[in-house]
Amino acid sequence: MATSTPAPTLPISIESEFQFLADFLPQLVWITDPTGDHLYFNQRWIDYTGYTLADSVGPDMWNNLLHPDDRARARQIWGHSLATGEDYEIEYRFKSKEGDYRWFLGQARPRRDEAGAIVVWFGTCTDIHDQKLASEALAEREAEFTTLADNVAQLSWMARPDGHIYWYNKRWYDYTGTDLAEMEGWGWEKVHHPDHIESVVEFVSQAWSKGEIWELTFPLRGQDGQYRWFLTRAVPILNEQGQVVRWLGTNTDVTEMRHLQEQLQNSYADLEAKVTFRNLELEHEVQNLRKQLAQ
Amino acid sequence: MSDLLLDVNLQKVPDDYLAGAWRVAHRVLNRTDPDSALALATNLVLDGQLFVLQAPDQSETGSWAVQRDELLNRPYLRLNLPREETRALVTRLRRTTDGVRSQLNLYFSSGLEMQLDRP
Repeated sequence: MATSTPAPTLPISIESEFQFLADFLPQLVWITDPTGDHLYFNQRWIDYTGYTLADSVGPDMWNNLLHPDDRARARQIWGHSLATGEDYEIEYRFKSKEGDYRWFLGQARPRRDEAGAIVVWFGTCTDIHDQKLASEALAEREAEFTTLADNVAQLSWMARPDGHIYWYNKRWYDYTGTDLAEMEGWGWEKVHHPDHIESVVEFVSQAWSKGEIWELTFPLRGQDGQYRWFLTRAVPILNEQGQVVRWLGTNTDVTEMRHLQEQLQNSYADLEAKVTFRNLELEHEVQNLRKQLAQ
Repeated sequence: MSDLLLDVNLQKVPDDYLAGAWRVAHRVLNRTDPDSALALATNLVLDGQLFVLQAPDQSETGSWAVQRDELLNRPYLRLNLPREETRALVTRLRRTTDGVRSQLNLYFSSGLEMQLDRP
């Protein structure tokens, strides 16, 4: 004869279970009435702020615990949710009982009765301080990178492993007079010289698949319609498995260097021709002297 | 019409590219006698076989010819005047695509270097 397992039953005291659960959660938990007056804070709130519910009476107490720079914004957004019943979400800094501030993600949702009227607001504050600082540090590094990339002398770009270019620095756009929409992917072909594009495309098509540093010199058209010569250098960024994850490229204007090189080569050729010419002249004079002596 | 002066390949330059009425735009005397006719020349006219040297107070007429030597990869000019015979190596010739404007650089056996413009 089989024995039946008793069906699970609800805890005797829902309130005490809720209390345990709310205190167990890693967030600060709170409940307000429809007007925003706090009815409940969990233990983590009390531990973090140092204030009990009794200390926290009044609609603005929580706001006074916010960083001064966040107060007006928080009041405006919370006021909007109270007025409209829309979910509440905000990032702000709460003051700890030690006096320092930490970033939290505040979220709240109303519970309504059958008629749709708001009965209470349930809210949480999730500690996002470390993520926020990391995010800010990342944004700062990104801003520094952008400043650096936009102000180096070269045109520069980044491409996917197959050569699809997805980023150019400001100098590229300033020089070519284009934008990302026009240039993304293989749009760069539009600013190449028709006499060179075929050999360039053939070269880079092979270079992408090799995954090795490559260099190539070719002309690029500026927004004034004139072409200038650029030395292009592309460096593959590899992952731990040695696979290319992206390409970093620069285009260095070598027009003046090419002109100087050309002038130098011409000067050498001229000098050589002048020396030969002078030697021929001497030979000519020697022959004339011999003729005169023979007479 | 492009106003850009382009280098002419001196190994293949036609003789008539060197003919015409040239204005002396610039010169470096080096060890050339500063009072010589060439040092003072303001215009050189190379017309047919006729060579006319024009200077502020004088004008001399002679002949000219284009010459080449297998040792040189560019032509040189033989210039004959009543009191002087000289040779000048063509070191550079630039002209517009339509040939309306030209620039000629000559290196004389005396060391004189001259840049001529046309017109």
